[in-house]
Amino acid sequence: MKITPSARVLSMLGEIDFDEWQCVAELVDNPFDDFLDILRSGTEWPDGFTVSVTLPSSPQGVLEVRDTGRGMSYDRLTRAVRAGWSGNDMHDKLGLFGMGFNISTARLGRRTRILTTRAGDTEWIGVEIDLDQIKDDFEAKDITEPKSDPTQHGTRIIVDRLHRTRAEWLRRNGASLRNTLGSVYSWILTEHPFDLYVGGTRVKPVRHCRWGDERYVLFNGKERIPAYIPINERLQDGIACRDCGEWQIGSGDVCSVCGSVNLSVRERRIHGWLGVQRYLDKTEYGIDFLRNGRKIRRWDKQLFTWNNPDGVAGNEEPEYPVELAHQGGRLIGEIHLDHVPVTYQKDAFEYGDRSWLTAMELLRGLAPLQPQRARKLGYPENESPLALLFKGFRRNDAGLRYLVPGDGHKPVHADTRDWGRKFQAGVSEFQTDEHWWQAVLRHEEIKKRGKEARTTTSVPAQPDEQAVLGALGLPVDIPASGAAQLGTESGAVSTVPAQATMAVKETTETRGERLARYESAASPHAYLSRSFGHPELGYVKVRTLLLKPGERLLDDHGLSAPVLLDQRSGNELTALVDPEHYAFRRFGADYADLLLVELAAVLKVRARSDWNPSQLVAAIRAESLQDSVLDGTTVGAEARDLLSEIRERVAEVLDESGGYTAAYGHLSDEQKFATEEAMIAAGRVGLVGRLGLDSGFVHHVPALALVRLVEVMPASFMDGTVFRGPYFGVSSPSGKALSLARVTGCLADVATLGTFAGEATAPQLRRARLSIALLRDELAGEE
Amino acid sequence: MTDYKIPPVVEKAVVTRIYAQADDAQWPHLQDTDRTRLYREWTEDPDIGGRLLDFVGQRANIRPWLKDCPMKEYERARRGEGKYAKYVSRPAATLEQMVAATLGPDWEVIPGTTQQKPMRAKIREIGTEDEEQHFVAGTAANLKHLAWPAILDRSTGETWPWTICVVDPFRAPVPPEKKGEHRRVAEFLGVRVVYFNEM
Repeated sequence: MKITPSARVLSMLGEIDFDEWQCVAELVDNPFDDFLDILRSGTEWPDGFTVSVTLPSSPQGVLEVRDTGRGMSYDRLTRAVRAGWSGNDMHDKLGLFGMGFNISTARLGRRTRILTTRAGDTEWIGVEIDLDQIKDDFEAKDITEPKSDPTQHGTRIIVDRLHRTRAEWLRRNGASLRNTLGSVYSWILTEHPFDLYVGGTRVKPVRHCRWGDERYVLFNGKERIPAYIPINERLQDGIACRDCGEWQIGSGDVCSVCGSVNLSVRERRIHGWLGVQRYLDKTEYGIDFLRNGRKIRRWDKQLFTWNNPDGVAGNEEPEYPVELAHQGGRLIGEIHLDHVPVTYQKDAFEYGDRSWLTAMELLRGLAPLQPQRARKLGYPENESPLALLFKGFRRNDAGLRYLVPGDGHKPVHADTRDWGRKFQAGVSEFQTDEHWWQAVLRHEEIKKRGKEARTTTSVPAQPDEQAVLGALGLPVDIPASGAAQLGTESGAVSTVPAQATMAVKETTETRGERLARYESAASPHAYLSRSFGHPELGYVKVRTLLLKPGERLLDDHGLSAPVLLDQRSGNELTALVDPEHYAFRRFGADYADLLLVELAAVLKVRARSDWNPSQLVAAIRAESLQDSVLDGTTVGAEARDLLSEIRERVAEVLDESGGYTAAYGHLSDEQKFATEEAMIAAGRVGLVGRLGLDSGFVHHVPALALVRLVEVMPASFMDGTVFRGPYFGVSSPSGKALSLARVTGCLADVATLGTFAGEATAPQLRRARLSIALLRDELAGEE
Repeated sequence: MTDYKIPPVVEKAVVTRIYAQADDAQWPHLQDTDRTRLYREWTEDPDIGGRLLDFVGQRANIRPWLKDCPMKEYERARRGEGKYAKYVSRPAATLEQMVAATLGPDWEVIPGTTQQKPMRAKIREIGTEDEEQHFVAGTAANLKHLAWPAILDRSTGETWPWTICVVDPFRAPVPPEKKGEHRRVAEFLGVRVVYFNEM
């Protein structure tokens, strides 16, 4: 019985849906497999391990893949080109079913020639598979080519009569192909001395921009959560069939699938790492899964969704990123699953396979990542590596607590992303995480200066009425000014222009010396150190430094200045800022505003612009400080993020105290209806019946109802439970009222904006942004 | 750019260093962004930019010098030609080696006939005096410059054979469709095109 398939089958393989890059990758997998064999065998290989892909230069061109591998004998070549054949020991190979070669070459073009030669052979031998010529006897034409140097070795695959659209794609998308292959083979190219060239240009491994091994955050001020978790879990060895590749269940002597006796014991191991990326991105986050070094899944996000085993299909709930989702996520990883079967396209694992499920259980655990949700559903706390990272890095507030770079007020996600691009481009100063780390530290430093006043008056350790009332007399400490500072004696000094004493100093110190003195003790301001300018005016590169406390910034005449520019070589300027200048301290001006005034003057002269100063400042701000734009979407999202954190904590407190029934009772009828509607809209119909019986309603009450809850049940939420302001220990009613008003005032702002961000005016947005910052500082446990 | 007074010892140290790094990075196969990055690193390297600074006046002159002097000569230097050839640690094939590889070991370059831009020489079969030919070598991208000496030669009525040797690097092979184009040009000009396979 002859069951050789019809020649049409070979041609039909080309109809299988493979992207262009997948076709090329199939042809690259084979030489890489050969290279890995050479490495495993320990043979000396002086010519290196290079694969070179030549792209067609016209739609009539050819695609060629050549390698410096061992080359093949005639017999091996015959088997290699036969559909369905695969080398032994397929578990260690990138290649799979032996079909990849036939599928990809048939998909790329109508004729494929393979030429191969081993060191010492006298000529290149090969075979030509012409899909238009081949008949049902499958006789492909043998071909040979002379060989100039007998030491040559390797294999060449030449595909011509290319499919028109695919040839077009390959011709135009060299860079994109390199980038895709650079990410698919990043591990192999990094770990092995292999080189891959596409269109004459080297393919660079696309690496992960993750925080270093030693970085960590403190959860609840004590639990260390690392930003990098190595994974190395040896599973029980398994028995696999060397012929069909199937893992064996039980321990028979013959393969349960193909009946072969060629069985072998193999190691099964899940290894790699999970970690935190140095920037947030809407798509570039998630886990990479590899098989034998090739990335099968890149940025896979399915681990962030919890599948309720008792739930209905399609009702899976995403758990990350939930808060600040408009910036994306940053949890990443690289996990090797060499023992888990993949689909023949090599773009997915067999998700139903037990070995995949085991890996998932190990990495993310069975319970939801969100502790609240886990508790509610009766699961113990999820202690998997991913849950640990989730716990430590779920929020993206600037600072050390979450390891997010900031400018003193808020995170600088656009900048950190931009630095990430520089990391990928290979710029040396962005290769380690130092640049990001310094921006985290600078944020803390700027924030610390601004917070000094608040911390002395409002920490729960001082439930002292005097301190609370004292707050009334304080100047408004607006965080937008960056470093509003309190204190009586330093304030008194700074308001009196100390010209007399400084003038003496001037006589002994040159301008250069003075600036050097300022600089040596100043700290850089990450956000304002950037390129400023406008297409019409040109650009300057500015390094902004904040003077150390106690230092006064004086101009060349000995007069106090809020901002001083020093022109350095060419296009570079250094800007010195005196955070204690009265313009900032007493009038709440923004550093950026006064810096822009100075820069406007410089750029106006340089560009001989006839714009007036306000036009200049406005244009430069719009061009250079786009992050500070006040738009409803961003501020609204920030408000909702904070609100969801507060809801979470309020619900937690109510659950612990059992106060949920009372709390529900405090809602107005209208608020109760709105809560029900919100639950139904969110698909939580089942919860409606439990209204008032647990704290679940808190997540769905209108935002303004939260304000009401805090107002009517202050004792439950103050004193370091949700908010850290003192309440219980304050003896006078007016003191209590003041302490509470500090919270509810801001909360009302945030709630209003979280609900009606769209229609907000600029002053409202500004007020909301301040309220968000102030309220965040009021949250308990957020040091 | 070239009239800076850079002492030979500094030039040697600097050029040896950048050539070694360019070799490691496979300079001919780098993307522009990577070349830019290397230039920046060299400028900032105290052993490269730092040593040049005293002789080129200011920082801004370092990169143009690196680019216009040693790196412009890099390809020729690798083939053993030009003033920087002595600083190359891993030389590429010379004209002599290309002649031997493409035409066979019986052919040699006639001493004193080597010329530059493009790299070319007269060659002959060893032991014969009358089998002389012209041999010119370079990359496929430079084909028109390789063909030009032959065209000039033909235009003055010379009929000596010309062999154009196109370097065919393993990492960036000359595509077959380009080779077809070369063949047509060669036929039209009455010259011969050969390919030198280079790792």
